[in-house]
Amino acid sequence: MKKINASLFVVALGSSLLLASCGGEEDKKDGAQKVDQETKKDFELKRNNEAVVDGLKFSIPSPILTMDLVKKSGADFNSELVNDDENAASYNTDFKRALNLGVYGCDLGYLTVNGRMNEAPSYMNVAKTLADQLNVSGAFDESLMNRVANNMDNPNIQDTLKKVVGEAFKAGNEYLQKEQRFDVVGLMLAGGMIESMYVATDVGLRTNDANIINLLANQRPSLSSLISLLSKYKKEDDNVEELVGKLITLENSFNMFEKGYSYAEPRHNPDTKTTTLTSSSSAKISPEDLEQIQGNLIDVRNFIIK
Amino acid sequence: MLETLLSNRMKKLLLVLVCFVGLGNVSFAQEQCDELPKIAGTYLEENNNGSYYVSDGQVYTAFVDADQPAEFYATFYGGSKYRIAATAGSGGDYVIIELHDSEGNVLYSNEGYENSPYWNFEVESTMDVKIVLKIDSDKKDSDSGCITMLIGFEQ
Repeated sequence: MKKINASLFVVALGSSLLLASCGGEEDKKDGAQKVDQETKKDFELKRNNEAVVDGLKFSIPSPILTMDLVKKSGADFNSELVNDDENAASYNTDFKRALNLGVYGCDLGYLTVNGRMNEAPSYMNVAKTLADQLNVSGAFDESLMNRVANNMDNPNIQDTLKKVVGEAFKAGNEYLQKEQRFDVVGLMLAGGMIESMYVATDVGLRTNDANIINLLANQRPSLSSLISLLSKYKKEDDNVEELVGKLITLENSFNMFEKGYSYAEPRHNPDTKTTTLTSSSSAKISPEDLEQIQGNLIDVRNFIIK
Repeated sequence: MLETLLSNRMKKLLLVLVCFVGLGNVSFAQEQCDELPKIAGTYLEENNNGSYYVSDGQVYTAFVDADQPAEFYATFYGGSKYRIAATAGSGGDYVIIELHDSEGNVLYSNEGYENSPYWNFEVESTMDVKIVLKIDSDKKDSDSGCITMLIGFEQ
């Protein structure tokens, strides 16, 4: 039955294309739209889309971006915040490996922006090992890894590594989505996001920096999006179900932020192709409430890394 | 008899041709979708005056048509500079990019800037934004197709 439908589809599509190619300008446009409709079907089938759309509707900040903001707050590096790279050997399920691939990716960002160039390569290797074990090593571009290895003596290695981590994160996401490994994408993003928020909350409590508080206050949409993505897999895996339960508890605790926003006219500079967004926003939370969020984060993080 | 045979052969040949052209076009179109991140990547690297933009790690791809533009949500953090780059093919002016705030105010549209395929945003205070992308049918011969967007932040 499927074969018949496929043949009919191809014949119908081919006919419409042939007719379109023989027609005038309007027909061509009409034909192009017909092809687009078929491409749309093909695209949707290929991407198996709802999970990806859910996952991508909200941007989940790259660890490097989050860690850059953490660095800008002026907070000192805290080595106790990163997951010990020796723990990697104990992750013997794909569930743990995918989550901790995200965790170590974030830690790598934290080490990099803080100039911890002696520790960073070992975290990169750990991430590569976990990716190998998950059979997603195609997500790691060998040439990127070599660029780091060959540049360790370069005084600009910090910038190079930042660039490499950013590119690796993008290449990894692109690869996993192309291969339809949405389960791995979801868990990896969850691991990275929890680790980012864990570090940012520690810094927020230490510095009360307005940008960090704002960063945390704005995590809720990304968290909700992530919960939707992972919920698709919770029936298949009890661990995912438990993780989703903990993420929902965490999400609810974000109600404690008080957010404000006030619009102002942006300024445009066509010469530099830059628009300055001048609207202002604020986020407030008491130290006690932030500590409660930190408690929820520690609970999820321990579930991930232990 | 010979006429019928020829006619049947012609039909078969036409069917094979139709299948071939049809499959070729679908796969070509899909290939075009897959090529878009590479093109968008070049816009992240373009004309940076010494600084560079690192991708936020996600490749935002959607299929759009006239009545269904793509909408993506992001948070822009205060004190950061971002670049949005979008493409729908080889033409640098195929995509209309709009940035809206959480109250629906249009903060920016590239329609006033020759549909520039990328634009930078300097953010004074953290804000949630919605990015709306559609294909400009005056520039591309169709108002539907794949669009890919990248968000970079300045280092």
